[in-house]
Amino acid sequence: MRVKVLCRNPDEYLRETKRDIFKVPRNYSPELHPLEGPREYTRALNAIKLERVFAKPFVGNLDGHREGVTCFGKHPERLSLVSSGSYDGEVCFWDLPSQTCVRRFQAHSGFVRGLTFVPDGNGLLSVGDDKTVKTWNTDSLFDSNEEPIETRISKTVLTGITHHQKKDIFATCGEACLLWEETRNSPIQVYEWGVDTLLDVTFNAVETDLLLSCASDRSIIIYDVRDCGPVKKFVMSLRTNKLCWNPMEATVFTCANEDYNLYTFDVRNLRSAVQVHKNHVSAVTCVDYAPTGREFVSGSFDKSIRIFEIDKANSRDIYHTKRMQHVTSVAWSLDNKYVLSGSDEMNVRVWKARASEKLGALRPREKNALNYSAALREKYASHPQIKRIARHRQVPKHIQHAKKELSVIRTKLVRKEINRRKHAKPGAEEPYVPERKKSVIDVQQ
Amino acid sequence: MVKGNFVDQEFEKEFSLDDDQVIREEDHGKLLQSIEMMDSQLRIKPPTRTEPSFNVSEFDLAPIKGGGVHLKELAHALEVKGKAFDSEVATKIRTLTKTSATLQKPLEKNQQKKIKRVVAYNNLTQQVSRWDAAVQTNRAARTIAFPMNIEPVTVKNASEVAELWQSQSQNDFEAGLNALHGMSKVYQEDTKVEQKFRMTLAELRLKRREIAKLRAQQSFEAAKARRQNKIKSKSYHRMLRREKMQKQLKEFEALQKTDPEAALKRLEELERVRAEERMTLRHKNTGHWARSRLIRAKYDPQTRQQLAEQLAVSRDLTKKLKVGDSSEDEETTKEPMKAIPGDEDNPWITVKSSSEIDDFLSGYRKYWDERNKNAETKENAVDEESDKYKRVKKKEEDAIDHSNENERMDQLSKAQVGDDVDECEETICHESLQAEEESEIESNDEGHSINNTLTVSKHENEFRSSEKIDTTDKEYENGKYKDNKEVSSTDTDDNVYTSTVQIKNGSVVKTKLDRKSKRKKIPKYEVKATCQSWIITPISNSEKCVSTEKQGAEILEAETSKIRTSDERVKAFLASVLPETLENEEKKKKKRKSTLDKMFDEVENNISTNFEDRFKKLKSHFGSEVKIDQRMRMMGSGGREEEENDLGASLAVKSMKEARPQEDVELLEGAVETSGATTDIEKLKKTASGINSATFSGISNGGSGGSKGSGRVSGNSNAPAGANSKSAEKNINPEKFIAAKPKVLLTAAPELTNAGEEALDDEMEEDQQKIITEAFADDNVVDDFEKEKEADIKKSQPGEIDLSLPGWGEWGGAGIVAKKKKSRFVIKPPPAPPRKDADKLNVIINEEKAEGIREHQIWEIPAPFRSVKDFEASIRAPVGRTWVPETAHKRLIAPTVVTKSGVIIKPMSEEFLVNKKALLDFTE
Repeated sequence: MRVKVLCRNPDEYLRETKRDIFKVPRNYSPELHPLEGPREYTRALNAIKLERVFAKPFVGNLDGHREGVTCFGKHPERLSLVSSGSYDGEVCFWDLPSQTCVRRFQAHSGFVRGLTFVPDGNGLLSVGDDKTVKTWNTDSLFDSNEEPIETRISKTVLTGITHHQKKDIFATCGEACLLWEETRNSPIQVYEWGVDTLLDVTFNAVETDLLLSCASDRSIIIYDVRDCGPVKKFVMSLRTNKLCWNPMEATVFTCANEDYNLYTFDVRNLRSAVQVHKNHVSAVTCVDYAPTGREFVSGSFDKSIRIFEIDKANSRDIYHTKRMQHVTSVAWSLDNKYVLSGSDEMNVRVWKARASEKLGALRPREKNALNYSAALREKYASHPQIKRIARHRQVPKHIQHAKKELSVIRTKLVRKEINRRKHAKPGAEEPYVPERKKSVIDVQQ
Repeated sequence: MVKGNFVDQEFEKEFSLDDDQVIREEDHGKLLQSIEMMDSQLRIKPPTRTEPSFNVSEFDLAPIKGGGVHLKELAHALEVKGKAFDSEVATKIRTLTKTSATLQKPLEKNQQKKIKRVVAYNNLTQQVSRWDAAVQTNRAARTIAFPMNIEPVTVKNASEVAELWQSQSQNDFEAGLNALHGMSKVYQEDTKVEQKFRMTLAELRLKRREIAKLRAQQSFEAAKARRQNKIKSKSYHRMLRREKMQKQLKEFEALQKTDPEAALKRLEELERVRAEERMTLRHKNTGHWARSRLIRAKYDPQTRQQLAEQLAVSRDLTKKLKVGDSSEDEETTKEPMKAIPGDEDNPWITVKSSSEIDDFLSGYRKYWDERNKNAETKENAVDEESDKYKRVKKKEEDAIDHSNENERMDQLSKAQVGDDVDECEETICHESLQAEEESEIESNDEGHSINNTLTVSKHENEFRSSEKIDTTDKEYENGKYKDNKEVSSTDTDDNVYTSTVQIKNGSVVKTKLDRKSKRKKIPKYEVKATCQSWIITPISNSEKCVSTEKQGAEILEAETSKIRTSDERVKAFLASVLPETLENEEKKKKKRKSTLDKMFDEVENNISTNFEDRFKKLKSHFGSEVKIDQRMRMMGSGGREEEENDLGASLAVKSMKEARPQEDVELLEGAVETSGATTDIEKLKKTASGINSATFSGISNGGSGGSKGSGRVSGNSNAPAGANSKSAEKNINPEKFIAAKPKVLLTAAPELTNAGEEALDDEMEEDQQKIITEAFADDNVVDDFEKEKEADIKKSQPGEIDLSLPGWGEWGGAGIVAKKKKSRFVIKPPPAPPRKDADKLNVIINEEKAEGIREHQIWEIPAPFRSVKDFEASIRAPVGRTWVPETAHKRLIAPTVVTKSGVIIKPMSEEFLVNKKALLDFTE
């Protein structure tokens, strides 16, 4: 059967000049488009496939450290500048656009444990294993004479540092949580609750006087620096390695736990987590929030970094390379575009925050097309084929194996719990504890 | 501790005692005392008052033996000899002793801290909860853009407040106050500081409003200027210019009086402007001189030359000079335009040959030349269209005359036989027939019909008084002739029309139209040519060749289609012509019967009201066929003459039946045939037979190639026309047709179309049908479909399984014929269940499952949805710009999070929490 095509005058649909918009006469009556659903589904399929095709998250490798990378410092005013500290006490300043090390100096003897910029960007504070807090000038990028502006000596070991968002106060952790003022040489406050070593400390960026620290006795402590210091403490089943506040939601923080999971909490309810983020197959070592507060990135001992949405249990994406070893620190750039990861094998890696995002300026039509495909992906996200393609990732074998093993362990635990409940005397069954509450053992006042 | 000290001292003392062997009395006393104390229960010494300090030992708070100091005892000191002490103090002491109790022991430090922490935590949770609203809005936002722009909140200082106040102040008191304010220290300081602060929100708004106002005014001005520029009216611009000039003049005069030097300068400037204006050569064609030249140019070669020179000068001046390297330009210009690849099917994009283009151009040029010439020659500037119309009209009248007179002759002959009443009826019938015919023939204005009825009335008068016939006809003739004269005089083609309508002995009608036309190239004119060249000889001379190229009706139809296009002009023309004819008519009307008048009026009304509809119908019925038939170029003219008469007859019948407007012509035709008993129709038939008896010899082409084809109004035609149409549709099987009706889907998709379309549904359906029939014209769709269905049925039926082995149970060898195989080894499957589409001829229902689709289907309703219906609705609503208008599309695909590249996103700040609305209310 040959259908004669109705022909039109090209003048009616061809543009006269290059700058004209194409004339596309359209009739939007749904009667005339009986197959709009299937067509759009096909487009969605194509969109998701293309997304996977273009998913090339690795941007570059910052090569220059001579030991494993321990920590990052994000410059609050400049996107291109990032500092990183390493096991050998060296601090490097990186220029991200050119992916070069612009400045390096020996900051401490022993590990550099923590780096933080002063909020106006005019100073960098570093703590190291040599029990000192040093302030570095960030202006003289190429100054060969590298001497700290100030060196404060602490009586105790220091493991982390964080700066207040507005005041000239910073806090360090170690044997105790110390509160320092920039103009003084000795801490103005010493907060103690128990005797264990504190591993990490972090100021809230929104409700600026809140402070959070995690200890090696599996506890997490909340402080209020205006008033009495520590206000609440809760103990988890395993140790927390790193903490991070949500920069857009004052009450929410996420902790990277040794039990392969990340937990998002609301400070007002510490009995149960808001969300448990799974998927890592080894201890989670570090976490950092996106500046939009909707996502965070976590690095793990399983040699991979994952990106989670705050309200999702499973990760949105996993990044790994063959040579990347245990990830020790991660950072999300302040323009919400890139993710940095520092790992044991002396490299700092730059990744795209969204794997298939096109970098650089987009033309309006391009942008429109990308938006459309994103909308389609979202619309059809629950369709099995699209879900499958969106979820599919190539992961290293060791992660794959570990994942399998973990799933076996988990199913075993679940089965056992079910069995115990089944065979317990009626009325004496163990209460069902949801996953979110399981990990919190105790909340202390 | 205290005790320890004592012991130490003791030991010391003892040690020293041993050394010195001297016993001091004091020391000994102490020793005794200490020994005593060891015995007593309380070893701790009661506190003694020392200097005041903040550090109070907790051990000092132990209860004191012997009661310690009491308030009453202290109060005794105030007692004046003998008298009781001051009553006021006494009462105070009394109340104190009654109400107060000793403080409790403070809690342990751990407990204290715990309580502190609990309180602090409660405070903290409350404090933190103030962010909830902001967080929720951000989370729920459909789209959110980072960094979030929040205007910094500013507080007004004293000076600004004072300023605000100042602007409102009016009376002296307030002014004085303001002055005071100005002197005040706060104000002065504020004004100093003011420069450092940014503008407040209100100020900013004010400024913005002003700017917006300015911009708006600017845009209004621009719009006005644009509108004025667009006005093409010369007179308007002339007026404008004149106004401007006058204004300038006034200004200039004023300037002359006040400042003569400036005026001089101004004059120079004006001169300069004028010179520049002249230099631009904008007025090369429009000036008085140029126009006068133009008029003369046709007759005077010199003036033509002058004009040419002038134009050449302007061309020279305005020629673009080529600067620089021209090679590149040439290259670019020489590049051929990217031609759209020609498509055989698309007539729009078939590449035209150069000869075709040349032809078109030359034709166009010729047309313009002629037109220009005409414009020159015509002094009264008669429009071409009106010209055409005149010609057309004349021909129409001729045609009608012709038929009128034919019939009139008959009537005349019968008038002698029949009685008056019959005649009257006949005339009525005849007249109405005329009117009807005319209406059918689509002279779509009343004036025209009146014209025709006028002629009819003339004939009627002839009936009344046979002596007058010649005179009236002569009158008419003269009128006609005048018309013709007019036409010929205004005619551009130098055609000479000579039409003589002679009625001699009431039996001869002669219309002669000679035409010397040179135009054979333009088919538009050819049609005209055909209708202009009619030669009708008297019936008595029927043995001689009487050639009619075209029939009146069809010609008229062709003509009227043209007329319709220039409807307005026709009307205008008629308006000019009408008065005369009306006068004539009135003279004759006086003699006419009043009943007839009424009849005419009615008919006219009918025509006027129903004409449009009829025309449409006729066109839809015959339009296509006429075209086809013209192409076919067939049919003798004899039959056509008959048809014409039949048409007349049918129309007559119609008018008899009070002219039902929407009646089908064909039906009426049938009515004519069946109701042949009526006397009028009989008479008409007689006339028709009279005409038929005359022999018409073949078709003669009036010299014009294109006019060979003879159009036909086939809708009115009898047998031959019907046969013709049948031959065109011969290969279409009436049973095989597509019933294509748009199906309404039960979708939950948003309704984007207008509700008002329903009214147009029928038309749309028809259009759709037409499109489909056109698209599938050559294809045998129905047959194909049947074949497809058969194949499908065959495919769906399970086939037989043949288990027989080749050669098994057969003998081999020469001369042995293989037996027919038994069907023992062939397994026949059970018959397939009846198909669903077995009794539906026009559908194929596929009852098989499509396994491939299964993996794309959803098995569970995804999270936010509760019902299948909701989810389906959400999926069905399309977001693509193919199905949704652009604006909606943009809205639907807006990303949830928008970030700017290279911009730092700061953490949420406290500005989010400010009640902006309240703040604005406060400031305004």
